[in-house]
Amino acid sequence: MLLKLWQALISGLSVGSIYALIAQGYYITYITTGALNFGQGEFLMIGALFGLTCYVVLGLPYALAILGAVLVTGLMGIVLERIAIRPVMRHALSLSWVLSTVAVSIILKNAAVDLWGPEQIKFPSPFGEGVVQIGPAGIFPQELFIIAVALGTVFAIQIFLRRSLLGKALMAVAFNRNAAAVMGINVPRMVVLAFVLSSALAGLGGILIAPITFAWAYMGTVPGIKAFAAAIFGGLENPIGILIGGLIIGVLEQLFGIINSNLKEGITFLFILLALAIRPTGLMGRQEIVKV
Amino acid sequence: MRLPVFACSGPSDWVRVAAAVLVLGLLPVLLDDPFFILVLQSLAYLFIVTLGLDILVGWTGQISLGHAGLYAVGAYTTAIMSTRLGLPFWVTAPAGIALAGLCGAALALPSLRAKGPYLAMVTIAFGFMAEVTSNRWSFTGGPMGISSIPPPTLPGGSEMTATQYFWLIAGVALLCHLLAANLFRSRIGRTFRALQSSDIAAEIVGINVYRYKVLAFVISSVYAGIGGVFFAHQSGFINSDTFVFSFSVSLLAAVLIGGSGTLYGPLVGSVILNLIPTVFASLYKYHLYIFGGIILVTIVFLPKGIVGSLRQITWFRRVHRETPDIASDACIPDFAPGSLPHGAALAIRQLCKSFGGIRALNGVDLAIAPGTIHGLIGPNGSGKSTLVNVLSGVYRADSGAMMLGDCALSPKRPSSMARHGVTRTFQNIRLFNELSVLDNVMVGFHLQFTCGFWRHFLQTRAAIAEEAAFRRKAIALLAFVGIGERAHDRAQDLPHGQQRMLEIARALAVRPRLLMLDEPAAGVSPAELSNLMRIIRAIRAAGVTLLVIEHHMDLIMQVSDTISVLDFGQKIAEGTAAAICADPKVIEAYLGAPVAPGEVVAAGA
Amino acid sequence: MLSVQGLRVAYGHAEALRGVDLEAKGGEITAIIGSNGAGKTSALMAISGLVPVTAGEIRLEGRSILGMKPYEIAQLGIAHVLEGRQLFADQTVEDNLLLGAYTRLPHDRARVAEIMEREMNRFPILQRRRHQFAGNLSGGEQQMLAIARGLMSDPKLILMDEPSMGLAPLVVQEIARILRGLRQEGSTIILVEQMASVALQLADRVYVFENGRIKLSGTGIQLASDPEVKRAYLGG
Repeated sequence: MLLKLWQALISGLSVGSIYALIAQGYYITYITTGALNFGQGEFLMIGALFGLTCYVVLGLPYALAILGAVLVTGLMGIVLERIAIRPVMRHALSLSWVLSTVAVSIILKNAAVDLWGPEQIKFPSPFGEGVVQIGPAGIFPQELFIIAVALGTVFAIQIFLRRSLLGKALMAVAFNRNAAAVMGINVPRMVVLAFVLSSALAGLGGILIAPITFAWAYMGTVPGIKAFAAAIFGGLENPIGILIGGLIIGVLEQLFGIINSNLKEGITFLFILLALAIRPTGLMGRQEIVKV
Repeated sequence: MRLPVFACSGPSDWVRVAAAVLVLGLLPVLLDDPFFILVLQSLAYLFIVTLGLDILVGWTGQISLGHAGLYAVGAYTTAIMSTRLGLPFWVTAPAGIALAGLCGAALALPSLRAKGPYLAMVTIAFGFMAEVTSNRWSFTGGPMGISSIPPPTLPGGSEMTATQYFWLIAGVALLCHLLAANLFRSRIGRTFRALQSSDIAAEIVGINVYRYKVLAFVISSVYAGIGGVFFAHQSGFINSDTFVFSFSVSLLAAVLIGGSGTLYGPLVGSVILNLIPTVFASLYKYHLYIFGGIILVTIVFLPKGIVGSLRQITWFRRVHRETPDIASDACIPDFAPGSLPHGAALAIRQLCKSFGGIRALNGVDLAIAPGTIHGLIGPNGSGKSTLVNVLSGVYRADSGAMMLGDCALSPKRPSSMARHGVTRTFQNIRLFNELSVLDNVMVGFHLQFTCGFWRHFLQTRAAIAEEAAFRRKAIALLAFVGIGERAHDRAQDLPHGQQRMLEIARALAVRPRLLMLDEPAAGVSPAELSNLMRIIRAIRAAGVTLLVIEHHMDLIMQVSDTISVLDFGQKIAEGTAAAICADPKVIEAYLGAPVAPGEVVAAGA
Repeated sequence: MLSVQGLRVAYGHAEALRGVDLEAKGGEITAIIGSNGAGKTSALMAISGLVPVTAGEIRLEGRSILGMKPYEIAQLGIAHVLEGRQLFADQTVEDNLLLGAYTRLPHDRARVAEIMEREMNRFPILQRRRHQFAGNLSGGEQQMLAIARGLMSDPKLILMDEPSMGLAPLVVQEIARILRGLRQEGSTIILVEQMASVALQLADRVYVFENGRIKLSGTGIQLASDPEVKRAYLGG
């Protein structure tokens, strides 16, 4: 039992850190534009499949495959912002962006089926199939790699946002658009940057997780939504909350998976419903003060 | 002449209903093809679901990405009851619909405070729970599903044919549409649409926003349940493949493509989206491209949807006007001297309110005599707006007491203050922008309507008569504030000054005992200013107590019986206009340091 | 320095400015007074490109800046100290100042460090609060920071919107002293003030706005003795 718990904890942390990674992307675009990409999961999928092509078909090193996946999804972020965000943010209708980003994700899914087929494809782990003994249990090295890279990236992003001039400018746009604009900050360009970062994070998540799941056209939707749950749990404007939310959801899922695989699939949503019933702006989100 | 239940007011409505009945009745007879009838059935029940979602999304401005879950509740309830328990359709169908409605009510519970992405998450989570349940749990049969769900039976005991079943579904769809049309035209629909424009403005006229949001969720869920029930008995077999996230997405897409917030949008949207697979059957490999492309293109280029965009062309705009028949005069309808309600005295003791570390109100005492105009002035940031927000229930005070007449006020929400007869206008105008000028005032009558939900849903004679009576009062109120001729324009199309007048008319519709005007003269032209003063004085003459916040010194000095001055969350002076002007404390705080001529010269030199 | 002709601004159907002409001369303080909703803030926002202009012309040193993006206008040397301070509350005092010099960064770091020292000397309180979050400052300190942030780009023209808002009389006097100092250094300022007495003390030229139009204009001294201004804005 202890063995299973230990394994579940490590697996949970690795899946959870992927959720946290994607959810950081939601955070960045939400604070800058009030919108987020409901197709993050499909960007994850493209990251995985494009990475697969680089790594397996072209035989590039895993590190280059990661770079390729991040670049491609980052560029797709520019396109996404142009066709699905910028044109609809002018509209009065507050939920236009939900459907426009979902529409892009639907198109991406179809494209992925055309390019890579509908089947699940095995993504060989660069660290081999063996397990390493850590504590009482055998752990896949890929899982540890995921935890290290994903959490490292989350922290790197936070350091970028808090320490670099560009990051500070992005945070300024997020906090107060008009004030940022009169400082001479090019606000529309910062919004593009936010979507590039957000999309690249999803792409990175995809190529990281593919070796422990499979790579295929339909792999993205559920992790995308679960990452959204993590962001909502932590509060969309709270990066630390989002990180914790992602890890909690990942671990919770694996722990309940020990008891029952049906529970594993449902627990995230039950959990988030309960959390929102208690605090409607996320357990760690801040309460909004109505301005009149 | 009109139908007993439906708001079919003229012959054109009669003709339309008759035509719909005729078309729906004859379609399956003329084109008697099993596949075609199946498609017609699907279109009819998916229309019901889409219409229900539009009531939630398009009217009240909430969001649901979990309607597939509610649809699943209806379908599985009726399927399980009829296959396992052997109960007839006529028992299982209402059960499925009722359970869907209940789920909707539960889903709505966090909808008051959860907004935007958070509300979306609530509905997504519900949808996924339903998806997981249908896929993984044994009582739903998982991917194997539930089969041999019997079609409904006729009274004789024989099973319905496909054509008869279509007539049943189409009949219910027509009924659902007509009832929705009733709602749309009644005060309920108007209230829903008001919520979308401004929660807070709806609250201050006495609408319990929470209750109406839950109501919208329940109606929407019932419609989804109806669709689910019809679906289960149509195919005879259901499994987990249907109740997926993408189905919720396509329902939402149908609403937006058709035109959210319109009556006929859901019809157009559901027909278009559900015909894609049929029409493009040979291009099945590209279905998702077509589907995604249509959604994206419509949202970007037709943000109001097909029906909404057509309506912008004046040609299609239905003009429904009546000429104001009441001459503008100084008398406010319903406020004839001596009539109810009497203005009430307001007494505030030691009111405190802090935000973070900033004390916006720091122990304010205020007494206002009934039927007087009390001016409230003070520098920007002195706490005036906070005071009005506390008095109108928008903020809750940290400590202190408020008495209106003999009644202690402890507002839980703005709508409860409106019930006590306290209402207000806003410094930043908050109208129901999408509604007509007349409808803005009609929403203000919310608390005075006596007919409840069902009478409006069914449009009984009493409800129609009541509506007509309030319409006349609303037009009289508009005439009183001087914008009678704009009654049928959209509120957001009025110029600034008229918008302020409309806000006052809407507030008067609440029949307040205490009316608070937050900077009524801001942005009002000098010509309109005299009209504003006339209105303020006439409201006092009608017996209402007024609290007026204003920076415009001319106005405040001329109309106020008493003036209080706030500074740093405290009252620093009170008295007549003349006394205030002479008070050195006021001059220092409100007007800055006294102007010393020497300094002016020095600075200007 | 800046000239505005026939400026019109509308929000939907509501016209905030209905044809305004004004002129800000180099090295002077030009003040705009008027009641809430008169269009004072809209005028400043139109100049800095934050709201679209429906008609009229705005020229900075003879060159039209109409239709430029806010960040382009900022790069031309117009700084805008927004109404209500609008600091980046979740960033430190130092970072707020750094962002104020965004148009000079990253290529001109040395100059920015110089200006930062200059402003820290002007506002010693900011030196002490250097590493605190802007949101934790008191109202007066926040206003100082907002002004300092505006000065960080070494602007040709400073637009200042209600620096006295919500501040105690003593702090208002302090701000007035700073504005006077800036004028002596040769800065050009357009000041929007609700406290007419403060504006009249400071300004070389004053415009009185009413309902989106200019009702009166003149020197501070002229208007301070104008009976209409006295009655409507000076409470006497």
